[in-house]
Amino acid sequence: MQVDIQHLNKVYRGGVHALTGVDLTIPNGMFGLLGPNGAGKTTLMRILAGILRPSSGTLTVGEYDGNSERGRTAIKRILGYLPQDLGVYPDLSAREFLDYIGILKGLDERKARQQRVEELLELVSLSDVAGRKLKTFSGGMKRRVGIAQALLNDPRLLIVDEPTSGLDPEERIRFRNLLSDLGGDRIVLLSTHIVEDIAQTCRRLAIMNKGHVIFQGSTVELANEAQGKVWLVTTSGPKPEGEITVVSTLNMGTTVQYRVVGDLAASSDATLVEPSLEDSYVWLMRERRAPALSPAR
Amino acid sequence: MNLLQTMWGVLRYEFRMQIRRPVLWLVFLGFALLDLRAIVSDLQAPNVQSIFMHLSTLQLAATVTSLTNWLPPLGVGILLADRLVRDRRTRVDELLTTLPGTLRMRLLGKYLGVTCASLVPAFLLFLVMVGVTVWTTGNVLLIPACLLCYAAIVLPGMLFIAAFSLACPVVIWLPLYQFLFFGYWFWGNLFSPQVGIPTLNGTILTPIGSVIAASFFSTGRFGEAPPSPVMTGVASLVALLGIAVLVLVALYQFLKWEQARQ
Repeated sequence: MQVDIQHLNKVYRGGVHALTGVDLTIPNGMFGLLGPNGAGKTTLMRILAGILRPSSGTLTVGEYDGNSERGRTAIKRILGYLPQDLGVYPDLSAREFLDYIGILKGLDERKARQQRVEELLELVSLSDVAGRKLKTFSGGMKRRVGIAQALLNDPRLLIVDEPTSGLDPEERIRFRNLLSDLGGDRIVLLSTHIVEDIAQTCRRLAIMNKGHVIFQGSTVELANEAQGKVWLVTTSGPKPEGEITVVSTLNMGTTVQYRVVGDLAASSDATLVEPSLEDSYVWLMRERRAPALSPAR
Repeated sequence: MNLLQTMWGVLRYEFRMQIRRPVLWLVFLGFALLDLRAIVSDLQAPNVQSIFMHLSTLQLAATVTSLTNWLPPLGVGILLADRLVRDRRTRVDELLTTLPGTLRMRLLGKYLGVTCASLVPAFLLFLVMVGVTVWTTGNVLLIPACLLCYAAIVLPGMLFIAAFSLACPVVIWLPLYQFLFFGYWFWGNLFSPQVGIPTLNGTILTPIGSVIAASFFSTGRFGEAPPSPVMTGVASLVALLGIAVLVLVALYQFLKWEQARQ
């Protein structure tokens, strides 16, 4: 199964162009959607999840047409969605909340549904606290409840919007590992502005900026985009000059080491290095800026 | 996907969430203290006793039901008003929109669940009042009579109020609705038409059930009332229930339209 998006546009009331001419093909497995805040990632996720309607363009998920009411309902049956801002009923326990969502997902058989809930609580390591009310849960725990509810119906399309945002490093690693295990025979669309999340989990990705898709391909292809453009500059003097972006600065005491991306002015202190995914992302954002439009949501 | 099972599941959980609210029980405890004090002193007053002695069991049951039905609907209407808009406040609604369970079944399940839960303390309060009356009069037959009167006099108005309380806060700021409802309750149910200011009190749209009580049982809140045609009571019942249905249908259409606009 794959997701096909063609010439998708979304214009909000007031003339805000959130998506402009988006063409995207998302195959099975983990697929990353990377971009800064306001790039249009969440808008695209919400259109795929059936929350928003596109202004124009086509969207198909497998055999289902996302532009028709019937198609959207069919997509919802195979969909698991973890929104950026997950809302829960604070006075329900984790177990009750998952059971409730399971009912709404059409898991009518009570025993099977309850078994599925227990399996997922175990998967996300929340079995011990399953009876506690959700209002007592931390952000990371709520996010785990969120991924559990998304998996209740064993979805063929799993959309995860900024899942590690606001999590501490331990939770972030736990979440990444969990997501990595979920790929395979389903489409897992991971939207994030954290490059490391994509680097650790996805082989294919797209990059969005200001409502446009500016890159689509594998992580290897992305890394190669900045080949020959990444430098380590160690200097005790002023910052390096040229058409560059400083990716990191490391104060070594008497000298400062800069990692820069771009066309560096001639310097004996500079060493060409292999680009990381983050370097290539920075390079791409510099070189393929979309035309200035109202910021997307 | 079995739609009825979906609705039943929603009903159960909405019931559970509403019945667990401490404020629901605290408010009705307050009502109980007010009502208990009033009804005990009423039942012991010699002039009231002489009136009640001349009433049939059914009329007495209808009188007790009417007497106890002036505060509980106020509590139900105000405490139920946040149940649908809460989905927006807690941001659950975004997740709910992505689920295949239909909006119609979710809405119906929520309406029935929160209404039934809100009625539990109201009904318990009513049973306490019935108990006090049975104890005072010694008439055990009052129990089934009161239950019948509760179904006929109280429930249609409660369902009417519940529909508006679920729907209106979607378009009006919640605290404003609760404030307006409070004012409406007294204007539309307890304000006398003889004062000279137009009011819904005394019409078939009186949710407190006074028109139904007068029509079916020839009683008001203070004993016998002037006779009223049975069809007036039927019209009131049908109007209250019918408008409740219309409000829910309108709510559903509005929510669908809102979703399509996005």
